[in-house]
Amino acid sequence: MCSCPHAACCARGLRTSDGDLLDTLDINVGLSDTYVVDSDVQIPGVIAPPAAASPLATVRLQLAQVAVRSEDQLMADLIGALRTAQPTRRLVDVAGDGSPRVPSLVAVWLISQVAAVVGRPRIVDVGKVHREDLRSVRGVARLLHAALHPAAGGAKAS
Amino acid sequence: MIAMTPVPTVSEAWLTSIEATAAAPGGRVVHLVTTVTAPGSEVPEVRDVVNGRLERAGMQSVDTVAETIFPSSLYPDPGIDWTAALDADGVAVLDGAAADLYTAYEDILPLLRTVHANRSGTYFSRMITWPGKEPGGTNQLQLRIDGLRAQQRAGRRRNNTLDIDLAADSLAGGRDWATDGLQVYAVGDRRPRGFPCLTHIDLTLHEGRLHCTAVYRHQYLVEKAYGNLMGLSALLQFLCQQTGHAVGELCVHATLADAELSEGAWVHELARDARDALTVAHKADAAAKTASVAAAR
Repeated sequence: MCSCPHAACCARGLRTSDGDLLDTLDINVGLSDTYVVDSDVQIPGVIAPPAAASPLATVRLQLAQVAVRSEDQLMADLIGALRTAQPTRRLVDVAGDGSPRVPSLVAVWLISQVAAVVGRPRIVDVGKVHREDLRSVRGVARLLHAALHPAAGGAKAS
Repeated sequence: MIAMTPVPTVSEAWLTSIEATAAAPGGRVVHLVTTVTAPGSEVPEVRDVVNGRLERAGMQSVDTVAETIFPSSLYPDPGIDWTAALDADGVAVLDGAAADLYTAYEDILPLLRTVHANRSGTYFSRMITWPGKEPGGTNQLQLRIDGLRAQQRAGRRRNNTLDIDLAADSLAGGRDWATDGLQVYAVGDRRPRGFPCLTHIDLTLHEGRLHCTAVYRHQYLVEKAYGNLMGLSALLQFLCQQTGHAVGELCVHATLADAELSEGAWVHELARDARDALTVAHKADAAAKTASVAAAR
């Protein structure tokens, strides 16, 4: 039996007699987490491994430098982000511009991720872009590059 | 009212609907009821005809329209079905996939709402974050999934006690979420045309199968109907995958069905071309079956 004053933990079966946590602990962790440090850590000094980054966090990391990327680099970043977020998506269909064809909602999702990274939620007005630009990764890169570098007078959306 | 004979595929359902409506005076009928017995199944040759015509007319493709109802391209389909006996890992995979879908859609919602037609939300945003303008609203889909899983756990295979579902009452407290429909029409919607044309989705659990009825106040049979049927099919398949029920019938009740004859003579050509494509496909199927039987002998 553990030494914590909340006997309810034991009564509800959250702990076994030797103090191991049961699988149910995660949903009741608030009852007992205060007492983990003084009695339940068996090997002092062990550092828990870092939690695996979520796909979304990895995507944001992959897109962290979008503001300084060229259009080609941006396209590569977007493809990488898409592969992270949707590993089962096969980028085999090719659009007219030679880049992977994507459904328009996926194109909008890519834009939304860049929008989140640069802190401009409506970085592109998707109601005013050419439909074809939302059908390929190159089109998305072109839209984003134009939005990120408006004064450069660079590539315009097709 | 015209109740079309139930057909197995979306392609046939769409084709018979547009043929019947285009033949009516003005190309419009009230209370057109269309039923697909195997939602999601298609005749690819018919879809190709429809997509080709839509593209030439500058209209949205079948897939694009379908994704307005269920955004399949944002759903990482885990390839497993929920069952009451599924282990915790399996449940986590299914729940994670659904959560990814909701999160991805909420991420894109601010951008989608930059489109004027989406300023009041979208069909899917109204399903997962009612009333649909911002993330964080009521997730009707998840509530239905939770309710339908509870039905499975309890061994209930039918529930038709809520056949009549009042849209405006759908989000009232204390209701049985399992078979309530999905609210997509808000009491504040004032536009006589345009969004939302789809006003309500009703779900009925009967003999272990989940059936879906969608009500349209204005069904555009050229520009939207084929994609709408595909999107509703995908929505029903998603709900069935997430809750372990078999896919039932998909029924669409268009209170006003519109063959869009004002688009021009090509609407009739579209129906003719699609009928020809269906006939050719059926003949090819029959020939393949005959050959298969002959080979078996």
